[in-house]
Amino acid sequence: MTIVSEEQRKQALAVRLPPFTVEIDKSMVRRVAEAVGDDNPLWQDSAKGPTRGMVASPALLHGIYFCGPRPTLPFDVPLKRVLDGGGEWEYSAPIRPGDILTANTRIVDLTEREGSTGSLLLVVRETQWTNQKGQLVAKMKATTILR
Amino acid sequence: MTIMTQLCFEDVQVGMEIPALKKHPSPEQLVKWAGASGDFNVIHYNKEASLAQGLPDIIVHGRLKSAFLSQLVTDWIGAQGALKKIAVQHRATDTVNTDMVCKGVVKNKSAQGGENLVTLEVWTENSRGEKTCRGDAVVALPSRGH
Repeated sequence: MTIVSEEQRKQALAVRLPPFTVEIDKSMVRRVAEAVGDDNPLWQDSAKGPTRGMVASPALLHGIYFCGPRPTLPFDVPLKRVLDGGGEWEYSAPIRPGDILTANTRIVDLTEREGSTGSLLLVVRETQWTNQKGQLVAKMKATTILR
Repeated sequence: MTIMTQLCFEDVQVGMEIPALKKHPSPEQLVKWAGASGDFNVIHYNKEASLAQGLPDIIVHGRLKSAFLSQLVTDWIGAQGALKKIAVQHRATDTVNTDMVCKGVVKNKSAQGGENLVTLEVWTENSRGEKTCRGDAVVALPSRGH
């Protein structure tokens, strides 16, 4: 079964999600570290060491607040369940409290597969995070499985 | 956390295992992660809703597992190491109140573009020894000479 036509595929790959902005604060950084159970002093307010000052743990960008909404395809697909297939995070600069991050997201891949329970559609979104200085801080790819 | 000496590139050998990280996610931890991450899907805190969806119990967030794997790596590399990249694929679900061990093994090391890079394979393992998610990480480490 073909879920997505070639034309729809092109439409999806042209999607640019509206950019969204989030201001990082200390409590956000602390709550993420606490939820993970990660007591590394780097993510604490009292952080010392070479980075001088509190930095966000890599887990901050694993939150779905930071992944934007679910993938919005510009057409309907006959699949109901949404599963997290995984992700990829590439970090290029530290994220600190006070930073204002902007996310730009687009759909970079659509793949159909036959699973044991029927057809699957894998949607890969790429988000580029830049800070208030225009510096790229992280690039993320999130795979959502629709089935 | 005990004070440890900084891990250096020279300390790393291909094939070595990194110290494992044990987790046992409780309902409280999943609720904390829901709040911190924004993922309020009911299967992560409501047992009845999970069962109604055909799941065996409350399910641990996939993103919490990828966060655990990030911690596994940042615990190992110390304050002067940098996590450059982590990629995680989910293979199976983990349920609340079960043991989970995060593990990693060094796959490669190379000096590239002025950086000392180490590639690792990382995974989470349930009590039956099954890998419920697996991934790869790239880190940069300081050199003993500096």
